[in-house]
Amino acid sequence: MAATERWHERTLHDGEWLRADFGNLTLVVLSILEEWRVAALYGDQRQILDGLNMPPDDLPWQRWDRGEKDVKLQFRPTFPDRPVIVRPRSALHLSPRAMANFFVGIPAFIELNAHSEGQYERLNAWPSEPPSNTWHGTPISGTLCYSVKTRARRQFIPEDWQELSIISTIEIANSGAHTLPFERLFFETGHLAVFEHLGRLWSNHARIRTGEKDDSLSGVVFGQKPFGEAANAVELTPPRLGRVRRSMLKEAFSTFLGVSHPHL
Amino acid sequence: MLDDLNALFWSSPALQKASRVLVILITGVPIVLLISRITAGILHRRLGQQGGDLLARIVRYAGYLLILIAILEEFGFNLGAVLGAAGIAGVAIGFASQTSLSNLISGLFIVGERPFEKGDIIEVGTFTGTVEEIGLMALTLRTFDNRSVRIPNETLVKTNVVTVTRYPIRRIDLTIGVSYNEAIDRVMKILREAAEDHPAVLDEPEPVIVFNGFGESTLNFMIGAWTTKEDVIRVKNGLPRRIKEAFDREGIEIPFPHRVLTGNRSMEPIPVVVVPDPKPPENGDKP
Repeated sequence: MAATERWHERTLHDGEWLRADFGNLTLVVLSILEEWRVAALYGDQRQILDGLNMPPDDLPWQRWDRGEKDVKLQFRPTFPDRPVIVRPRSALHLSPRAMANFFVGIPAFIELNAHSEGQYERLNAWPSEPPSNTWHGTPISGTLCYSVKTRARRQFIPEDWQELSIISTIEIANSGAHTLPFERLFFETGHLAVFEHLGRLWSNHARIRTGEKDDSLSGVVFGQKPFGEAANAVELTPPRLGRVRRSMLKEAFSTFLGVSHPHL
Repeated sequence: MLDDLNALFWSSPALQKASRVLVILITGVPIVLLISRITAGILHRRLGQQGGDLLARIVRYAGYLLILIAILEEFGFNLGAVLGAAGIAGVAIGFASQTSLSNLISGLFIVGERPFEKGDIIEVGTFTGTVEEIGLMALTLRTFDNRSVRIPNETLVKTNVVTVTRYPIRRIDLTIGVSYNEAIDRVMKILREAAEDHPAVLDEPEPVIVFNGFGESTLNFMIGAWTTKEDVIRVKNGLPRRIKEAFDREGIEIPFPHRVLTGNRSMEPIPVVVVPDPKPPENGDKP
């Protein structure tokens, strides 16, 4: 199985430009004066391109130097550059020794790689949907994350997720002696690869086991392939932080603590 | 030739002293630098970069002082006698250097306590700026309009210091008043949406919306939106604009006091001028 055309290598000679649509994001790439110029447009901003032979000068261009003979470029879907916070549609209580499988749609970032002196270089990555920031931790310490707007579901319903959402399957197992309230999950995506199956983006399957010894630590096991019928998907992008089999998440299921309310 | 030099060396006390001084310098200075570097390496982990550097500097200066004393003793200075003779002067100097000592000791307290680090933004009195250097005697602050402010360490210990960038996230609080005609729930909903729509406002912790009571001519609200410390200015500028735009869109009125300014003359009674009727023509006269 081969990847769909949007992820194929493209050729852009000097003076040429292309427009690539990725859901709500449009990337305009112009090859000119030994430079790659790239502009990211969202939503209604894209109307400015209608009926034009050349992109206008006043687009929000970002520029990269290139060699005279560099003409190749390629788009790739990637996971966000920060961990994400995933929530189920409503809080779910997992009994001891119970497990549950969830489908999560994480909006992909679109990475642009282009030739520079004959070698592919990563230029930048843009979110296919402007992400929302959230915080995992306390006001004193924590991690800046992205918040996934669509809720985790127990079933795969393609219409629920946007075209450029990476469908991740997460199996949560409660190995502890207490019921686990699953209201939110801190999920590090750096060890997940992106695959394509029937035009949709998938990640490899992840299993999270919590409560075995320490309630604050959860073990994550990463599968090699996506879940279920997407198992024969073609890999588009390797994991950002490398391929590992096991990892640990700290306070993966904890809610935000330590916020003081204002004095009335 | 070598024998001659050897004989000259052993017969000349001055040459022997000079060589001893040379040995003290050649061995002493590298040892002091090495100890200073090791001290910095150990203390960086405990006291941070700036604190480690500061204490390493103190160790280095103390080492140089010991080298100086050793060299002086080679030249026959009796340090005890010198110090005894300088006792009275020492007391006077001690009184004079009271402030300097206070600054030095305060600097050590600051380094130990670590209320801020180099690069933090702090508020001290009327000054706000970035910590450039924590020195032995004073802290150097670079204000946002690019002025360098030297604040004695003693002042930092005695006064309130606000470390603006201590924690990774901050809450930006805004106070807003709307007309008494507006529904409180609706205003709170619009405020929440305006905060949630701002890309730099964090989803969690959630924005805090509080109805602050009935003002003289407004319903008062407080909105507290959390953001990362890097995005504080972005939220401070962007959120009020978004709230104003949302209020304009939704037709929510932000009342403001009206003031009528008048000059003195306008406060006087309106002058009334009685104009006599024109004299009627006498009989027989023709107009």
